[in-house]
Amino acid sequence: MASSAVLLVLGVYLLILLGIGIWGGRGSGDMEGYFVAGKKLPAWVIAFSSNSTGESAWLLLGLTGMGYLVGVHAFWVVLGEVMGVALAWVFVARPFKEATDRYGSITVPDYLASRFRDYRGSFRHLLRVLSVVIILAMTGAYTAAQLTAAGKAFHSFLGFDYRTGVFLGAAIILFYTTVGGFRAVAYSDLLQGTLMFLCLLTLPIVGLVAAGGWTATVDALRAQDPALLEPMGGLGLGVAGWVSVFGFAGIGLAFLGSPQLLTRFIAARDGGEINRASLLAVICIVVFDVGAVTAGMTGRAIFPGLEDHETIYPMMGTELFPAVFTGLFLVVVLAAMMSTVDSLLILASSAVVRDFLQQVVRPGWSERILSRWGKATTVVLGVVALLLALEEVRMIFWFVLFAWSGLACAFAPVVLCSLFWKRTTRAGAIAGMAVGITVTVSWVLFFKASFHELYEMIPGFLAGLLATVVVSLFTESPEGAAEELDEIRASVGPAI
Amino acid sequence: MLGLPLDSWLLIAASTLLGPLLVLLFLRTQRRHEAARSAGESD
Repeated sequence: MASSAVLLVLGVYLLILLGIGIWGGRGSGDMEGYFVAGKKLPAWVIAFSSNSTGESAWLLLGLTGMGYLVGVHAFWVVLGEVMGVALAWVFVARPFKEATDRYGSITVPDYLASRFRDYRGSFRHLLRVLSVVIILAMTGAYTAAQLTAAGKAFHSFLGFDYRTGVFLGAAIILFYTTVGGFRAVAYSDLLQGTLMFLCLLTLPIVGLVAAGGWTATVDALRAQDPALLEPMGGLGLGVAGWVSVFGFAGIGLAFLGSPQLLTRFIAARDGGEINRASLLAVICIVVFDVGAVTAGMTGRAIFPGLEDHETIYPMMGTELFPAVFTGLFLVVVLAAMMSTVDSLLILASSAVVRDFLQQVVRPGWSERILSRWGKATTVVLGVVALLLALEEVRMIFWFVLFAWSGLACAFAPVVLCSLFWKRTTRAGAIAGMAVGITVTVSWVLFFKASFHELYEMIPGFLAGLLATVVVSLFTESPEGAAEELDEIRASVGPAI
Repeated sequence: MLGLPLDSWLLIAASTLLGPLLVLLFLRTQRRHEAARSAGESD
């Protein structure tokens, strides 16, 4: 059973989250307030919020495990993610923020609908509805899976019953997300991101000291397997090696256009805040990823021969630190899950209320009524995810295989083309989204095993990009869109 | 060198430094753009 020190740390953390929820509730009475915090967030918040949303519990359990399993080869993931974050802040953030401010957009489908004039012509609202369907399918399953992981974390760290853990995690997240809206989500992300930052700064240092220093760590790894110190791991420079490199680095492509991350740019106070946040964000992701991989490597030097490499993080947390810190390590895992789940819930809620109810079905409803619907929708979506997690529905794990890459491959190629290629058309955007998600799902189901397990992000992203470009070349771009892009570029200035 | 092959150090250096350097270049460009815009407005 859990010690009182661990329970105390956990209790304080959960109380702070409840406080943030109540505080965030002020100003969430209209759509812009509830879904993008009134577009008033400062640099610190958007920097940490984007990274803690982008990194789920996978960072702490999966990436440390990868460092444990393949050693230096895991730095290809670091390279991909750090470059993904840097490229997003340098090239995407400013023009995207400028465009969404001009259009008055508060969601990514909102932006796409305005950019491609989705509100007129044949099959109007098709782009918006397609976006909503993809967001709901992907976020619903991903949220349920994260709640499942929360239940398991409570069970393994504290000995709680699994269902109690799922219920407790979901109740806290639903409270502060529903009451506090995006402001509470973003500021709780700041807290959660700071905890993850401090943990991943400390863990590898303590690991190195416990392993006897740098030379002792490297010697121990070499003695176990010299390939742990090689950049290509044990795969060499053949096809399998390069497929692994591209798959690892490709994880970072999601940072270029996933809707849950782009929402942070929309919510920034102005372009100046985005500039100030960019360096913070990239330093934060470097510490996250380098810390996770290095911790895994030092963990292997100290605890060789673990049956499940993804248990190295809890192993280091419990064996190398006193009990009160063990509580903190549990809190950091929960923080990583919660910061992802709250963002997905509010993203899905905005898709239903803003993009479907307000823009398609009930354009006459007042902001106050829609804001209430937003809160009610957040609760309904959260309860559905909770029920799926309580029942441990196996189907959700099937969805989670491609939830992160599916969202990214549906949106990132289209968003990039919309910002940087004037000829992009509405038909091209629809084709890009449909092909991106379809290829991602098909790749996982039918092709991945035959292609050295190439990560689906690579074919999904390339197929989405290709479909957007080819269909755009054969269709008409929206009237006035080229001039708008020129004005946006002139306003934000050159990136480099 | 320090127990790791040179190509491993190159990968680690690229992973940690390229992103921050790109952002620093971006910030310098943005500062120059803002300065040029301010100068244009004051003229």
